[in-house]
Amino acid sequence: MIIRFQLDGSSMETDVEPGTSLLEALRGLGATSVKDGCSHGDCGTCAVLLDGRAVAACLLFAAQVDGSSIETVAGMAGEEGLHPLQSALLDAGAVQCGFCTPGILLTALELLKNNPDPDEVEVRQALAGNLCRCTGYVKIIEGVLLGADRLAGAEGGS
Amino acid sequence: MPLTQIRAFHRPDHIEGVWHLLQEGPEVRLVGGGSELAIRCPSEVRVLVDLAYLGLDRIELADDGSITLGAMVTLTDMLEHPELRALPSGVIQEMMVHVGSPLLRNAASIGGHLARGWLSDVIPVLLVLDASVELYDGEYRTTTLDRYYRDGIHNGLHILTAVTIPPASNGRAAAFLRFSRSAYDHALANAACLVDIEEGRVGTARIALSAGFRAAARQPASESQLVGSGFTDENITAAVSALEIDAHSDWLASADYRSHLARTLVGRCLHLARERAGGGS
Repeated sequence: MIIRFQLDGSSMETDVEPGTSLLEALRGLGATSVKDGCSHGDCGTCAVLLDGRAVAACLLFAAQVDGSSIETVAGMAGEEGLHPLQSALLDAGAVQCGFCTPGILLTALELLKNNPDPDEVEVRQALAGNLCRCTGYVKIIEGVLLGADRLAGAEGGS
Repeated sequence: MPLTQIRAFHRPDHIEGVWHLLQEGPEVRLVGGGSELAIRCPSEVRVLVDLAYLGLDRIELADDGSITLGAMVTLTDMLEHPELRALPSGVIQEMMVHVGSPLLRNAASIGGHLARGWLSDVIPVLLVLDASVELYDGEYRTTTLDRYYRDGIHNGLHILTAVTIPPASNGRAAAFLRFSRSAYDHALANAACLVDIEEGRVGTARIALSAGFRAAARQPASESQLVGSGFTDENITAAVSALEIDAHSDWLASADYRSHLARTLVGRCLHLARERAGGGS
């Protein structure tokens, strides 16, 4: 079946089998920043933003996103460089093997859009579905809080 | 995933079309949020029917104060909706932050969540809020959520189209508690209660609990221990003693352990609700 959607701002059209997951469809289109960790909705490495909401791409059928907008971590950086949240995670030392990082960035991005000044508990709750096998959670949470500060500063200065 | 046995994915835009497809046999399944099917799709399923095009994604407030949730309303929509957050003691929010993670709540639909009919933190809270469900099986009908599970209606062929929460009177207090091995894990047991106190006595009492993988159930024998009596420690103990617990054993916990947990959670819920109601003992 043919589905059409926006992927990081570009129009996409692809032919998928009816049981194809969104994760498979995206990786099939070359969007390999969307990682395949568990395929059971447990790890969050495949998180994408679906119409602005972070979802596990392995738990959706590709057919469900027909007509929707998908954002991946590959679309976060702009012409001016990394997104402030990406830079914050790097500066906080929040990236070890890096496999969980795309999902964490997108889940945290949704959090900060809805709650620009979260406390540590709110960050932990938001990232409850994103596992880091390197167990580097303390640095990840520090990185998200640093990103929130930087985004607030950027908005305040603009 | 991938579900290679799936041969068709339909997207009807009217309920009669969904019902027509659903009647074709056990190889047909409805897609709400999709996550349940993605993880546990039965091997006989060949055809998926998406409910996303029926306009069931709205939360509507009636003049009498009742709140109707279309079946495709997500758990995140419920968590964030101001009228739902304003229900007694903020019990929807208290419960919902424990359901899965934002990634799951953003996709999971309330209709799909209720229709699967097994262990859930949402069900006991909706039971004590006296929720009802609207079904379509060739025609629309409504039943209480309590009867939906107690009479096995959830196992029959139907489309769950909406959930309605009646208006809550002033002075009611509610509480929800769960216990799990980790924050992200399924609850081993959970409990919810709702009470109101009239002139020092319990006017309304609703208690629901689950202690296994079956959906939660109301506890009428325990509720009757409280109604018309003072909200005392002794009456709370009597209510806990009257619980009829349908616990089971599995690799996570024994039935005895789950039963003990359930009694403890109900007792704590009732004490918490009494505190929130401003005492009353």
